[in-house]
Formats: sequence, C-alpha cells, structure tokens
Amino acid sequence: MLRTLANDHRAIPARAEPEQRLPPRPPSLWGAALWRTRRGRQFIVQVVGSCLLFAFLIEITHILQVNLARQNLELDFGFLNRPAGIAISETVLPYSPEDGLSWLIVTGAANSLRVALVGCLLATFLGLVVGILRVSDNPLLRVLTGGYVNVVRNTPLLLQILFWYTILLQLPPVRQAISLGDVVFLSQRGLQIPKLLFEGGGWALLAAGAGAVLVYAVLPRAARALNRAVPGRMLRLCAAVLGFGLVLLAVAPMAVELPEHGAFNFKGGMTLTPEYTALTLAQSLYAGAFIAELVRGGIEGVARGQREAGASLGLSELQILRKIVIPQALVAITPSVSTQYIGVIKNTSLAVAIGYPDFFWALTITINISGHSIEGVGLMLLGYLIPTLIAAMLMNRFNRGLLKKGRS
Amino acid sequence: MLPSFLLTSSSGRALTAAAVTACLATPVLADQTLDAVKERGVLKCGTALDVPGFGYPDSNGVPGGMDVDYCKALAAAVLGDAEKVEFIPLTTTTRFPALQSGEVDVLFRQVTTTFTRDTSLGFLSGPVTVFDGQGIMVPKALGVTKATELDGATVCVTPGSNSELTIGDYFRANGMEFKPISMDNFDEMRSAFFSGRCDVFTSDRTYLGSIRSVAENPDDYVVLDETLAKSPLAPVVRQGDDQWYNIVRWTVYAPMIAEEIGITSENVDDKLSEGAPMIQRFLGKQAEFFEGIGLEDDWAYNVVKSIGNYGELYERNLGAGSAIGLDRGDNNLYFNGGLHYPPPLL
Repeated sequence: MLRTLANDHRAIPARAEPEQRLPPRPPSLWGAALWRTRRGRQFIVQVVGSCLLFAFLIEITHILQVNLARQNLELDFGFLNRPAGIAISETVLPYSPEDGLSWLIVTGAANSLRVALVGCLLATFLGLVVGILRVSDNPLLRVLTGGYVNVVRNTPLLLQILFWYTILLQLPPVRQAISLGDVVFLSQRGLQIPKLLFEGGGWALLAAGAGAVLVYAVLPRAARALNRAVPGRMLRLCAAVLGFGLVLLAVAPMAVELPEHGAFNFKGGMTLTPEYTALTLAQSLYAGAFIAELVRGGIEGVARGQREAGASLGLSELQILRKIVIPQALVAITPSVSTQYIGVIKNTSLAVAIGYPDFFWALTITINISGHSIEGVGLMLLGYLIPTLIAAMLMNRFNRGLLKKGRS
Repeated sequence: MLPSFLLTSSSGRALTAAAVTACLATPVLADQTLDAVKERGVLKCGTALDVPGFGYPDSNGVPGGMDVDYCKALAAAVLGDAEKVEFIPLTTTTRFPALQSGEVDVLFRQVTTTFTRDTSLGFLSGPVTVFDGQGIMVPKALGVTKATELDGATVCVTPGSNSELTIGDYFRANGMEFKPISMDNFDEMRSAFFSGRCDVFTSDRTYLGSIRSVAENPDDYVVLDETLAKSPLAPVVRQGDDQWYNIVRWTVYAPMIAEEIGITSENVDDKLSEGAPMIQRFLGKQAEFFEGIGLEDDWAYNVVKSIGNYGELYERNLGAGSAIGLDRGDNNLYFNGGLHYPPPLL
C-alpha cells in the first residue's frame, strides 16, 4: 500500500504534462509570415505583452517620481540610519532608543519570529493531539475536541486575540500579584519567572556547541567499537543536546536571577507579558484547530484495511497509529500544514491590535517617524514574503523527503 | 503573501493605499487642491472620530469637536456649506500616509507641529488651533505626585505620536526606566489603561482630559501638573500647493479674528450692517478684498455663521461647556493673556 501511494504521487506530474502535438518546426521564425503560424502568433503576443508591461512600469515609476518631487520627497533608504528614539516594551534582541530605525525593524522582526516559531510549534503539537483524539473511540473526547475545533475555526482570529488579552488583563494588579514562593509572580504585568544567567558568555556557548558536535560525530564510532547497534539520527541528536547542556553546566558558572518586586513592576527575572501570551496563545489555538482537521482528514484517508492489517499482526492501538497510520497520513497532510505555518507567520501582524511590538508595528512607526511610506511598505512586503517563502521551501523539502521515504 | 493586517486593519489599508496612490495618483490634479475640492463638491477632511473634544460622535451619532468643527469651517469657506464635508477617520499612525497619498485634502487631527514633520514628511503646518502640552495621567490610588517618581512604570502611549518620542527622552534624561505599551486602537488602549495594564497614560493634556471624561469614575484619575513637552496642534497640508495652504491658514484665523472684533455666530447677521471697516472687510463687504485667496467674498461670514468664533468653539468642545472642562489658559486671545495672535486683516 505504501508503495502504491508513493507511485501515485510520482504519476501525477507525468500526467500533468500531456505531450503536445506541435506542427513541424518551420526552418526559421521569419520564414513565413509571423501571424500565419501558431508559434509566430505566440511570439507576437509575447513581445507586445512585454512591451506593454515595460511601458506600464516606466510610467508608474515616472508618476511616482513626479508625485514625490512635488512633495519634496525622494525615494531613498538613508532614513533607516536615523536614530529611532522610541522605546520598546519587550525585545528578544538587545535594543536601545539610540539605535537606528533599521535596528528597530530588525528587533520587531525578531519579536514576530518569536511568536511565529512558538506559535507553529504549539499549533503542530496541539493539532496532532486534537486531530488524533477527534477520531478516537471515546465519545467524550470526540465531542470536546470537535467543539474546540468548530468554535475556534469559525471565529475571527483578531477577536480571539482580543478575547485572550482581555482575560489576561483580569489578573490582579501588579501590587497584589499572585506569588508562588516569592519566585514566580503572576499579575497584569504578566508571568515573572527566574532567569538563568550564564556568566561564561559566548565562549561557554562555543565550548558547549563543540561538545555537542563531538558527541554527535563520535557516537556511531563508539557504538561500532563497542560492537553495539549504531544509534539512529534522532537518538544522536538527543545525545548531542544532552552533551550541549552538560558542557554548558560544567564550563559556565551559572546564577539564577529572581524577579524582584519594584514600585511599579518587577525587576530582573524573565517576563511572559500578557501581549505576547495572548498573541501566541490565540495563534496556536487557531492554527492548531486547522491542523487538527488536517490530521483528522489525513488519518481518515488511510484505508481501513491498513489498521485491520496492523491489528491482525497483533500491534497495539498506539503502535498501529505510530507505525502505520501516521506515516501515511503525514504524506497527505504536509502540504496543507505548510499553508497553516505561512498563515501563522502572516497573522503575527495582528499584534498591533494589542500593542505587541512586532515587525508590522516597527515599520508603521518607522514610516511615521520618517514619512517614507513607499519604502516602508516595500520593506514590509519583503519582510513577510521572505520568511513565508523560506517556510514554504522547507516544507516542500520535508515533503519530498517523505515521498522518497515512502518509495524506498 | 500579503500579511492579513495590511488589508484588514485601518492602518494597514491606509499604508497600502498610500503606497499605491503615491505610485498611481495623477500628478496634475493634486497640485490644485482647491479646484479638486470644488469639482468634487465635498471636502475630504482627515480627522479622528474617537477622541472626545476633538472628534467624537454625540448621542445622535453626529460628530463634533474642535477638529471636526474646523473641518466644517473649511468646508464652509471653500464650498459655502459646512455640511459638505466627508470626515475620514484616521489614527495617529494612518494620518500622515493618508495625507501624503492624497486620500484627504487636509488633516485636522491633533497633529503637533514638529521640525521633522514639516521638513521630512513633505508637509506644511498651519497656524496653531490649540496650544496643548504633553501631560501625565495616573490613577489616584497610585499616590504619585511627580513624574520623577515613575521609575519602572508601564506607560500607555499612542503609537506614532510625538508623545511616544518625548516620553522616551524624558525617562532617559532622568535616568529612569519604563515600558511603553502602544496600541493602534484608541478604545483598546483606553480600556488597557482603565483595567490597570499601564500605570500611566501620557499624551496631550486635552486628550488626557478627554480620556478621563469617558472613565467610569473620572475622579479616580488625576492629570499631574507637570508638562513634559510643548504641543502646538495645527492643521497639516501637503507641500507644493501654496494657494490651498493660504486658505487653510486663514480659515484657522477667521474664528479668532471674529472673536477679536466681537462677532459671534448669533450676532453675525446684525454685524453685516455695521460700518466699522474691520467688520466690513471681514464679512466681505469691501469689494475685491478677498480676491487673492480664491474664495467667495462671504467665506469668513460662512465660517463664523456655521461654527462660531474661536471662543464659542473652545467653550463648546474643550471648555466649561463640554465634558472635558478645561480652562481656556493659553488658548485665550493675546489680549486676555493667551497665545492666539491672529495677524491683522488688512
């Protein structure tokens, strides 16, 4: 069955390109009157079309220049070096108002990525679990997960973001923060948790990285030397992560920074702000619901006989799911899931609604400070295009890998 | 591949529109804003419709406020009818792209005149309509009396406003830290402040007054005495159309001159027959006096008749007669100790 499925996929592109019966090729394009032959006519259309497009572009550029000149403006990206002058509530990258507008944009982009990456991860996990539960034999679980999927899928994302944000703002004010052993605090300012500090800095990270690579490379040889089975890639990766952590612990003196109650806010520690939490939560739940449906569809698309065959081999329910159903479902799901990921990336721009300083916000501010709206909107389009294209590319590659696996 | 916000949100749409129209708008038409407005028969005025005192619908849904009234005044001056105006609601972040792209003819939208806006955005600022200053509002329960006590505070500030820049300067200059929260949507931001997400709201004093006026209990909040920055609010037009700039300028002055020479919306018709030369000139009774501005002779009459003089305007929207209840203070005419000093009508 697996093989048939893969063969089907291979067969599709072949069918999509039917052989064209072209007339015998004329000796030259100029041999006969151009409009007499099909190829000639196509050539004319191409040339005229290109000319029109080119003229249109020139005209637009011209009008743009005239319009800008009339307002004493010019197309120029030099404004990106101007100091931003405004503060940001939360950043992943180090930022200060003295930095340039370009750095403000990069900082905003990093904030957006933080939402997109975590959102995609959580949505995938949630979607997988809920999708599997949707087809479980337990009616209660089916109803609960079905309710979640239908409610979340059929309400606007913006509304959901505002909903979670409003809920989070119902937490106690900062002076009456809920405290867990004076280490973790929960209030309107968000969730404050202790922060791990590595004092070794970059060198410690470098050493740990080297350790991880070493573990990854040496593990198969060590196994061969010890006459044990060579560990799979997953296992080696886990071992490498473990190695990374161990070296870091050994090399870098570590300290814990506790959040401390200030007059208005907490100082030190790490913060999960209501804005970030609401945005990420809403994104994950929203995309998760869609992915759950995809997973359900993928699972239901696997022929019943496959499960029965697994059962007759004496495999457990979980083994059937893991070894037989999911690998086949994955092939069908992956292309649609990548659309969801791209959706998550684009929807991070809804952050403006609740004041999370994302890429869109940073560019709006930049446009406002500098007045260069055309350059700004251009950067904005590029800024959303590039990560979505990268995501699409990665998912395509993953998909090809799956197809290849199915074939072998 | 477009981020959804670019098309669904007001700011996204305005930004996209700005970019698209800047590319496509025919240059010839836009040079002559006056002709364009006359031909269209309606003035497109960029304003806010969610800021009490400046632009806010009353209980019947009819917008009113300082900026809205000035939009009407301009429509009255140009088209002879204060109702021939289309209010284009704009946020602090959408207002400039909207003007640049030609989506609106003029901005009466609480814009603080600054050097950068005049020189880098391709704009010209008109005369000041309201002398404002950036203030700080806190809940009384916080027990704060001075801005210097605010180290570590979370501050609500409107995005794209000059307050956003000023507050950063202020905290840095005093060696203090703060976290800004800025949202595109005024209503969302107000509720974030009222629910306690921010300790402080900073903006122009008039705007703080207007936020306070819609609080559940306005007395729970106090605007501190300190003024962090000057904030002269003025209309804005695009560079490159001098005639239109002059029309906007003198439309702002007209209600002030009316107050100066004792004309109100009530007595303006009686004044038509009065012989004082200043009044005669103002009401268009002196032949060809107003020729140079390109408007009908009775434009100033129409302005005062429809919105009143500056004193009436202020009292109705920001002063004692309004929910905001601010003193006239700096916004008195010069001879009453204020800063408004309209040039002579000669």
